[in-house]
Amino acid sequence: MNFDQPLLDLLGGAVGLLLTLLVFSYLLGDHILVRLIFYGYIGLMAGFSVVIAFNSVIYPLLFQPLIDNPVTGWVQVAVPLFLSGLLFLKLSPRLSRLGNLSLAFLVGVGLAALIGGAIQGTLVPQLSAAISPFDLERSAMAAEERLSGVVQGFLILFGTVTTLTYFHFGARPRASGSARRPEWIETLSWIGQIFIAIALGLVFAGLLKAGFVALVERIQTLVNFIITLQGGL
Amino acid sequence: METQRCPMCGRPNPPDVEVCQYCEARLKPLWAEPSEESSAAIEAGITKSKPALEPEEPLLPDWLIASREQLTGEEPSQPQEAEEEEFLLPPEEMEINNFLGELFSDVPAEEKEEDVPEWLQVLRNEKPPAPETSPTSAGSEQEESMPFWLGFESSEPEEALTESTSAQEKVSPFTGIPFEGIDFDTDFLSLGEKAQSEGEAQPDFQPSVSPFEGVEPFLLEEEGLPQSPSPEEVSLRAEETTPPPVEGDWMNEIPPWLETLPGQEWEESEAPEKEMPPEFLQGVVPPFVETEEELSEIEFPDWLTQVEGTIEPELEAVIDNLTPPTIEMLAEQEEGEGILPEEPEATPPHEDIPVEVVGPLHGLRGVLPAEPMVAEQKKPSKALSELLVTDKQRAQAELFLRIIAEEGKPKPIPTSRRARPHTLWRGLILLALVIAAVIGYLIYPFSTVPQELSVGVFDAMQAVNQLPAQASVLLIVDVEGSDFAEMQATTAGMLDQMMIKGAFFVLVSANQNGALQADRLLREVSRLNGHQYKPSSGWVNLGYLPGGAAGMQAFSQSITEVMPGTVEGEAAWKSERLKNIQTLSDFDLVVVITEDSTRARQWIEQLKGHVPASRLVFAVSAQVEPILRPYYEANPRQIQSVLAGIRDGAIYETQAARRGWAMQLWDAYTLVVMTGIALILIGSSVYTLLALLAWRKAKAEREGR
Repeated sequence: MNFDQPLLDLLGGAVGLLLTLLVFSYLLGDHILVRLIFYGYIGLMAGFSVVIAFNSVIYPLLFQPLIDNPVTGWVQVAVPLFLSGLLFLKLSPRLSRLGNLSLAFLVGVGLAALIGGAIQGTLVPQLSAAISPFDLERSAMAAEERLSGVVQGFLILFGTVTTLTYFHFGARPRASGSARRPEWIETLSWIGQIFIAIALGLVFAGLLKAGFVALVERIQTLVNFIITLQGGL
Repeated sequence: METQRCPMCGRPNPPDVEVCQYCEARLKPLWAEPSEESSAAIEAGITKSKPALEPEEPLLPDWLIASREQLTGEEPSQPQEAEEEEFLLPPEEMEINNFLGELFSDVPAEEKEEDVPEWLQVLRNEKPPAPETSPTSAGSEQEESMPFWLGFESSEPEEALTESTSAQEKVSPFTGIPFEGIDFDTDFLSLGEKAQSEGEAQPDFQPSVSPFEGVEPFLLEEEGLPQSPSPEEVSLRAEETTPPPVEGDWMNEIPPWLETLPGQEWEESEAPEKEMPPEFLQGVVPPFVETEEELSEIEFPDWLTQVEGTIEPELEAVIDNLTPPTIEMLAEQEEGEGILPEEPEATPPHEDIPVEVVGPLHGLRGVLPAEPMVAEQKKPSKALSELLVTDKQRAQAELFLRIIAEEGKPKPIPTSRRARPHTLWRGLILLALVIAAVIGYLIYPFSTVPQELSVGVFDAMQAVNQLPAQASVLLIVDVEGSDFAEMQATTAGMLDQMMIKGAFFVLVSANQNGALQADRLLREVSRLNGHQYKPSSGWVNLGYLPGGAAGMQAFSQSITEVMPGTVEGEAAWKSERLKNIQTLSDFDLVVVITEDSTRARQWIEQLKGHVPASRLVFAVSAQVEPILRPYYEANPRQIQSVLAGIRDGAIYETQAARRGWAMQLWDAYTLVVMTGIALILIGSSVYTLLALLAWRKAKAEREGR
């Protein structure tokens, strides 16, 4: 059964227009149509995720080896299948303890990858980058640029130190029972708040920009659809 | 099986054991030969001709059996010979037991005339037998029948006793150790002689009857030395009813000298409520001092005062420190802390004191009070059950109670007066933005272009321009559908340039929607820019990469093993364009497209070391740019370039002289952004103005008052 492509585009555009307007109506308040759209989106995503998981993981890693080589394929999939079976036992409250083995394996491997990557890819390089502007011997910049590099490095260092100081929440208790950080830490912390506010403002601006782009793209699609309809009519 | 029963706990034991298996009491008595030094003194009060006890006979002294029979009203049994006791007790204690047995026995004097010592005959107003041969022999005979210390109770054999004691060695009757440095003639004996000769009362330290009367033989056995019962024990035993007097009993006929003794006065002048000794012990319990005044009146012998004087003051201080605090001291201490302890519980009445029903102490009341009295469960004192609460803690507790009470109270839901204006404001803001977008898209298209060339865009263009023809590019697309528009606008110009160079794309995604979005992205870019890119010929989609960071790490280490096939199920790395790709470093360029800052950071971390930084480009959302800037601006760089948001995409397209997706959105986008800025400024100004007006109004009200 063949559908006309312009008809499909028109039908898709109409559905898109309807759904977009219904989602926009959420600004005026919650109602059943918006909920239907949200439930439909969640269900669609769940179903799509299952399909993707089956197509990308379960079938090629579990069934494909057994299909290709039934004898040696069992050896290949035995351990993953056993651990997966244990993970299924988490559904039973009485046997869920047996699933902890698989869960421990998952958590351990995941954390090892995260921590190792964070140390190699973030902590060490970023600490080195914070120090490197003060290394004039190794700097490849020209002489006149070194001064600006040092100033920039100092600003980065100052911002880093004051921002980290803000997250120092330790304080000695006083006789009155209250706890307050030393004054010099309070001062640096106050300066650090400025840097944090600038960074958060930048993130918020980026978030707004992303939202504006999405809005503009949707409005443009709707306008194009309406123009198409006008042209068709 | 024959067993022997423990006299202490009453439990059966094997016949061959010497110690009870349950209470470790000795079942078979020890017998030790008395030393020669002590034998002379011991023999003074021992009656040797005692028949052995029957095997079933309980190991009880004669006096205890006699007193028990008196209490129960039974016929007095035949006097048991105390020969068995010689196996039980040391010689000193046997002497005492023999004496006490004789004292309590109801057997007529005629039946045991030969066993009655002379001093006892004196007490019974009987004529003592005439001395046989010599004073020495008479004295020695008297020593056999009575202890030496009781000798000065009798009146007639004073001289013989004095001679005998002075003739032989002065030995302690209890330990068998000779006294040294003590002159008996002037200290002990002279006092007795003096008192009797002058018809005065005996010295205070000298008991009225006998210092060992009322002392239980088992206690003596345990301690090894003669002991006097404590005042508490005496008071407990004093409550026992006195056995009915037996006619002709010598104990009821108190001699005149005995009436003058302090003990007799104590018995007669005792208050009715004062605790009396047990019934069977009445009349034999010596008077005990109860107050320090009475104690001070007692005249001690010289050797004892000498010993007392040798106690050093330091030792007294140590003893004082070891003295436990009295109830009064504890009460004063508790009173100082604001808490008064309860009154100590009174001693249980006499009726509540249990009577022993088993063992050798059968019939005695309150002899072993440990279980019912000491271990008795009592109500804990008030001082233990109350907490020490300071004022601060009490204030905190009151505050906590107040908070809990307030939590339980229902709070009225505040009516939001601004709910309706907020809805209106939201609608107005949406309307303003939509109008701006429509105007920017329809009325003023292509009116503005981005002016600056950012460093990130420049580096990205350099990386793309350096790509060889027919280059292989890995596109890692972690994009959700909601951010697809921005990511398409950001990357469209760069992907267009790559398509112009004929690059072959390998798509992979670490989120489940990414593979689909990647495919859609390439289709859109190809369609908008007029390319003929199609799957298989223009790109292969490896699909979803599971495992999060661990999956990224595995993918970085072995790309062909982790993602061997495409989403269509074909072998990805056997195509002509990818047959030379074995690792990530074999790609000419790796582009990560994502709007998630965490995912972007994870890719940087996991790709480090596997992809040269010069071939790693990130195209991210504008909100991720602040996170990636440190990686890009670091020295040395960890990534080659960062394209952030629609602005960088529009710049790229402008620099490349291509009108792509970013430039189509650019005018509307700039107008919407300006509208948004204006709305933020207007809203902030309005609220600031309202706050100022409210503040001035409140200030005017305060000044008006």
